[in-house]
Amino acid sequence: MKTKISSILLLFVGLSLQAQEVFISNGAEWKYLDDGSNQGTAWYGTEFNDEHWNSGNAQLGYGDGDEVSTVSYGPSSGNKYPTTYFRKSFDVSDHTLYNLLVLKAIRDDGMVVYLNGTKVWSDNMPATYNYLSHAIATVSDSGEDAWLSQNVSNNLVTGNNVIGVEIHQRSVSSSDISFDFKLTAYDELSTEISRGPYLQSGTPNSVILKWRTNIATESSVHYGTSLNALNDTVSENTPTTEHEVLISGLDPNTKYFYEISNSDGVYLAGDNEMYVKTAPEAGTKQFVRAWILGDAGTGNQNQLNVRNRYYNYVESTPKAANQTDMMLFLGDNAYNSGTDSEYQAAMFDVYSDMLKKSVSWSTLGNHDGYSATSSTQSGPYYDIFSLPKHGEAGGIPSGTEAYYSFDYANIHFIVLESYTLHNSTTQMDWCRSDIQATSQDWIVAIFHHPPYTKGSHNSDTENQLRKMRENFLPILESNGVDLILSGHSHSYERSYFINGHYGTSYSFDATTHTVGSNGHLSGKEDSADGAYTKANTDTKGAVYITTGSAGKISGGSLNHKAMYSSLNQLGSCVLELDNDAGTGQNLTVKFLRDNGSITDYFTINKSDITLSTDESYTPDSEYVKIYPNPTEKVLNIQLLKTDKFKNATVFNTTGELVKKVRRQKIDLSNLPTGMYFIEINTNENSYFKTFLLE
Amino acid sequence: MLKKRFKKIALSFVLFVSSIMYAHGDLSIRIHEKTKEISKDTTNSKLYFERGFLYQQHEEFNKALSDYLRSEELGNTEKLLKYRKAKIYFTLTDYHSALKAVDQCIDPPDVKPQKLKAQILMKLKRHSEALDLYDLVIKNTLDIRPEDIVEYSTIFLAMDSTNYTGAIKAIDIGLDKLGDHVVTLQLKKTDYLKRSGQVKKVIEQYNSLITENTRKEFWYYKKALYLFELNRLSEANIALQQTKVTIEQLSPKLKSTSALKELQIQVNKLEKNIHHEN
Repeated sequence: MKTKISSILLLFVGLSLQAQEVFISNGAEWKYLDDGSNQGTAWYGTEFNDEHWNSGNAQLGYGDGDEVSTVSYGPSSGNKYPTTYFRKSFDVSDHTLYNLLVLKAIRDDGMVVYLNGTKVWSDNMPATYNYLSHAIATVSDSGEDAWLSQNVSNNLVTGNNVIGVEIHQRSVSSSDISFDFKLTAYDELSTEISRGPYLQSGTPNSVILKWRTNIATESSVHYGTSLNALNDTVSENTPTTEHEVLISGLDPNTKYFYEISNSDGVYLAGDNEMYVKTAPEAGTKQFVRAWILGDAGTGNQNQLNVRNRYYNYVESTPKAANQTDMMLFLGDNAYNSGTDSEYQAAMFDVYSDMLKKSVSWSTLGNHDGYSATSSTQSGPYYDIFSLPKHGEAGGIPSGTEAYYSFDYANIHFIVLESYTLHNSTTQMDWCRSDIQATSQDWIVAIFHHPPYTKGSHNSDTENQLRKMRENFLPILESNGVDLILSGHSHSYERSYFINGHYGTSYSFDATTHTVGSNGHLSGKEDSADGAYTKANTDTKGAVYITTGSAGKISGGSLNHKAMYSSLNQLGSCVLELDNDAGTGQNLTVKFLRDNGSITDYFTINKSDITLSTDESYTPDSEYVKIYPNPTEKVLNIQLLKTDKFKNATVFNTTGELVKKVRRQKIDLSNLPTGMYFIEINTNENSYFKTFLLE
Repeated sequence: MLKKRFKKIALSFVLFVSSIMYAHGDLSIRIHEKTKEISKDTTNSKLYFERGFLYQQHEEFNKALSDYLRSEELGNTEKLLKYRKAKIYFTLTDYHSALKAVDQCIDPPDVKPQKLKAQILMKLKRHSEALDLYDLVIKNTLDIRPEDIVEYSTIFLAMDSTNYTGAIKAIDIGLDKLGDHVVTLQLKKTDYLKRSGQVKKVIEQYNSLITENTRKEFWYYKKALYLFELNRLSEANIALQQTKVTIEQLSPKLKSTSALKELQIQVNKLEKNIHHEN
C-alpha cells in the first residue's frame, strides 16, 4: 500500500514537472498531393506554398476501406503512383520549452519524415530514393495499423513549423497505402513501458524478465512473494530501452509478484495479475496447463477471438482456474515477415495480459525467419525471445537459441528449428543426445513444419516437412516421445496414436502404424474408445498435432490418412497434465475453437509414473549384496550363494581404478564422495554393482 | 467393376496432381496471384523479383532463377536479388555462376553473403580463400551456431585431409564462443580426435561426457566400443559393465524405449566379442 501511494505521488509529481504538448494528433487534417509528380526537395520546406494541395483528415490512403480521406493512386490500378506527399503546418509559441519530440506514425508501406526541412525519420525505405522509389517490403496484416514510434531531438522553431511526409508504395500494383501521424513535444519524457513486460526462460529458480521503454533508462525490478512486500531487487544500471533482467535465487513452484522502476521511481507498479510462478523441480508430478498457439500472428479479429475463448476457458474451468503455466508459440508468430513492429502488433499487443504472468516459449516459423538480419544471422525473433542455449532450463546445451530444451514438472520439452535446419546433422545429434539425457516421464517435441499435414501445406511433397519426418521422427519415437506439436498449416489436424510412419500419407497403414488396442480410435477417455495408453513395458506411441489456426484458416484437402481429426477451424490447443485415479497421469490436449467449443480432444494415459534414475539404486542380486548403500565410510560385500570371495576392485565414474581389496569389508574413507562401481570377483563369477559414497 | 476401378484411379490421379499443384498451399496461391499481377504489368522488375522469391521458397529453382534474371533485365540492381540468385545457382550446383552473383552482393558487415561465398569457394575447391572468408564470418557473426562451427572445421580437412589440428582448433573456437558443454561440438571434437589417433584425449572426451550427464549408458557404451576397437579389452569390459549397470538403474519406462532395447542388443554383442577376444 505504501509502495502504491508513493508510486502515485511520484507519477503526479513527475507529470506536473513535465511540459508536454501534442502538436499533431492522430486524425488531424493534412495537405496532400496525390498526382504522382516529382516534388523534388522544396516541398518539405517551411517556405513551400501548399495552397493548391488537397486537404483531408487522417487516416489517409486507399485500398483498406478504413480511410477517413481517400487519396488517388492515379488513373491505373496496375500502375499506381509510387509516392504520395503529405504536409502539415503548426505553430509553436516557445520552442525552448521542449527537449525532445516523440513522432508516431501509421505507414503503409514506406515513409520518410521531414521536420522544418530536415529529414528526421525514415522507415522501410532504401538509403537512396526518389519519387519513383518503392518501399523495401510490403506492410500487411497487423503492420498496416501498427503505430511506429521515433524519438527525435527538438527541431522545432518558435512560430511556424512544417512536417512533411512522403509515403511510398511497395509496388505499382500494391493494393493500398495508409498514413496517420502524431507529434508530441516534451521537456522531459517520462518513462513508459512500450512493450511487455514478458517472461522468458523460466526455471525452478529463475526467470528472465524483458520489457521495452520509450526512452533509455536503467532496469530495476523489485519482487517478492507478497504484493505488499516486493523487497528483493535486481538492477542493471546501464540505460537502455531493451530491458532484460535475470531474476535468480528463487524458490521452485512459487509465485513472485514484481514491479519495475528506475532511478526516478516505480513506473510500472505491481498488481495481482503481474507475477511469475517459478517452475516446479524437474520430475515433480503435478497439474500442468500449457496454452498452445500456432501461426497466431495476424493481429486481426480472428486472433483476438481465439485468444478470448482461451481466456474465458481458463477463467471458468473447474480445475486450476486461471492457471496457465506456459505459452507455447509454434512459429509464424507475427505476419508477414516477423518484423519488430509486426511482433508488437500481433504478439505483444494481443497477449500482453498473459505474457506478464506466463513464461512464453517459441519455435521459429518461416515467416519469423523472413526478417533475419544479415549481420547477426538473427533478427527480431531472436531479439525478442531469450531462449536457453546452455541447458539452463533443463536438457543439454545446444549452443544456439534455434533449438533448445526445457523441463517443466515431469515434462521434457524439445524445441527444434525446422525452417533452415531440417537437414542439419548437428541438430539431429543434439536432439538424440538431449532426448537420451532426459529421465522425465513425458516428452513433448515442438517444431514449426509438421511431419504430417494435408492442410494449407502438404507433408508428402514439401521438403522441410518431409525432412523433419524422415530425419527427426525416428530419433524422437525410438526414445519415447509422447506428443509432437507443429503449425504451418492453418487448420487443426490431430493424428491417431501412431509410431513408425515415415512415408507419405498414402503409405500410412492403420494396422501397422497405430499403437495399442485403441490407437486407431479417438483417444477420448470418456468414450468407449478410451484414452490412449502407454505402459512402462511399451513406450511406443505418440500423437501428432498440426495446429496452425490461432490467427487464420486456409483450408486444404485435410485428408491425411494418419489423422483422426482434421478441422478447418480457428482455435488454439490446451494441454493439461493431471494425475489419474491411480498412480499414473493423463495428458489431455483439447482443441478450443474461436466460438468456445471444444471440437476435438484426446488423452494419453501413463500408468505407474515414478521419479526415475535413483543413482544409488542397485537391484538385488541373488548372488551378491553390498551394504549399506549409500554408505559414508565402509562397504560390506555379502555373498548369498556358494561363491567364494576372491577380491574386489573399486572404480570411479570414469572407470579409473581407485581401490583393490581382498576383504569383504572395504574402508572407503580416503575416497571423495560420489558414485562408484565395484567389481566383485569370486571363484565362480564376476559381479558389478554401483554404490554411492556420501 | 472395371469402371469403378477406373474411376478410383482417375480420382486418385486428380487428387495427386492437385496435391502437387497446391503442394505449398499458401505459396501456390501467392504465386498464382503474383502471376496475375505480372500479366497486368509485364515490365515491373519488382514483381518478377517477388515472384522469384515465392518460386524459390516453393523450390522451383529454375523458375525462380528465370524471374530473377528477368527482374535484372528490367533494371533491378538490388543486392538482395544478387544474393538470392547466388543461392539458387548454388542449389543448382552452378558454382561459377553462383560466385559471380555473390561477388555482386558482398557488403561488409553483412556476413550472409560472405558465408555463402565461402561455401561456394569450398565447392570450387578454392579452400584457402574459403577459409579466409569463413574466418571473417566466424569473427563477425553475432549469433554463430554450432552448424557454422562444424562447417568451418571441415574447411581445414578439405584443404588437407590430415589437418585435424586445424579442424580441432576450429571446434575449440566454437566451444569458446558457444560454451564448453555444447554437446554437438564436443562430439565433433571427439570424432576428430579419434580420426587423428589421439587416444588419450578421446578417452578424456568420453569421460567428460560421462561425468556431465546424469544418464550415462550411451556414453559408457561408446567408450566401451572405442576401447574394444583399440584392443584394450580389460578397460572395454569395465566400461561395458558400467553400461550394463547404468541401464539396470533406469526406470522401466526408459528401458522399454526401442533405442534402449537396441543398445542392449549392442551391449550383448560387444560383451560376446570381448569375451571372445579374451
